[in-house]
Amino acid sequence: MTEAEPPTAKPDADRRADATRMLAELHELPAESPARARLRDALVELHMPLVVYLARRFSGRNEPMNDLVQVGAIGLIKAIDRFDPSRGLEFSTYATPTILGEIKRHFRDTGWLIHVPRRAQELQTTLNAARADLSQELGRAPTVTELSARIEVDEDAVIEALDAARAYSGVPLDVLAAPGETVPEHPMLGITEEGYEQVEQRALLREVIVKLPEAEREILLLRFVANKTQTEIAAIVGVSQMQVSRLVARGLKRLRASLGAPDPPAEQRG
Amino acid sequence: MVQMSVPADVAYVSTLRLTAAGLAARCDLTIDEIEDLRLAVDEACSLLLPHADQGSALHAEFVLARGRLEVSARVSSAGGGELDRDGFAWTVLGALASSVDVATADGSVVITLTKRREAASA
Repeated sequence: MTEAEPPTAKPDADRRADATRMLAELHELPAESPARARLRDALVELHMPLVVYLARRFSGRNEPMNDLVQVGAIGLIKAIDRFDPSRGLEFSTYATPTILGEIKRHFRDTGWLIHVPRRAQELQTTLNAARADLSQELGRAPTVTELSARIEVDEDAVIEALDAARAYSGVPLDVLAAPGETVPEHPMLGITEEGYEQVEQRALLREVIVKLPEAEREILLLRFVANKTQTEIAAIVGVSQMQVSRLVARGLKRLRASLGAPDPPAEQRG
Repeated sequence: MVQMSVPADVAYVSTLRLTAAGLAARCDLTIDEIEDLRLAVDEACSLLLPHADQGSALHAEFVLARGRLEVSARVSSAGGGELDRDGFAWTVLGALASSVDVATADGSVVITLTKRREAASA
């Protein structure tokens, strides 16, 4: 995890200067220019060591390194396209959260990392089997290091899963009730907290909102966060109300698509 | 405040990282922010450890506040220890922590990093 990095993983001052120059150039060029595509490729190549460095940070989690590098590279490309050289920020500083965001999203999509309870749950079966095997082989309970080596998951994850195991075998309180008692009516029991779902959705939503084109994002925020009417927004942004209406619709559609949600049946396609 | 000292050795970084993550959860940081913090602690340690005196300790201090966790990691370093600010570790630390501060004094090097709960608009 924290081994010394190979010397190639080091962005020297030259490389940084190259990157700054290329990014400035790239943002001068029109989107369809072939020179722009070439610059973009060169920038991607220049920063791949950063992607590899970041991906390696997650290599203990049972995901193939190639996949992590690949999703990281998507983050890098997004960062290159969105980077604004005029803001005077170091590109690698700007790109790091974007690359990490993409890697984290990959874990979330595959059900790992962020969705801790589920990951821990999935680990349970493997962990229990390994625990039984190792106990037999060793004649004593295995250590976390031994478990982690056996199931090829890093130690933190094993500790987490062990914690979850404790919760997993928890006994519902209503077992304690005497027969005939209507315990589930008790306010302490059996309430589904809908807040969690909301928090999760909000977190997901935040990610995709950030990726919307700026005009759509601004208008959606005005509409749904600031609760402005379309007419008010039109006045603020300086476009027609029809245009606002179109942008809201397009923005929502894009959000649904990024979240993998189907369009509502009432909405017209196309 | 929570304090802990571990041997200045890579093997103990995960203990520090887990502690940081556990405390961050108490400070109400989001899961993403906790994940960032874990990585930041990793990077801070990998910057510090090459400078630590042989057989010395890595001291960590955690200052907890609502929506904010400050982590200071300190090693004693006879060599004075100029941190490598050209490498990825420094870049990543800077990008993930809300703020980073480095101090060198009395033969020790300290990295103080803070992770703050960001406003929802990020």
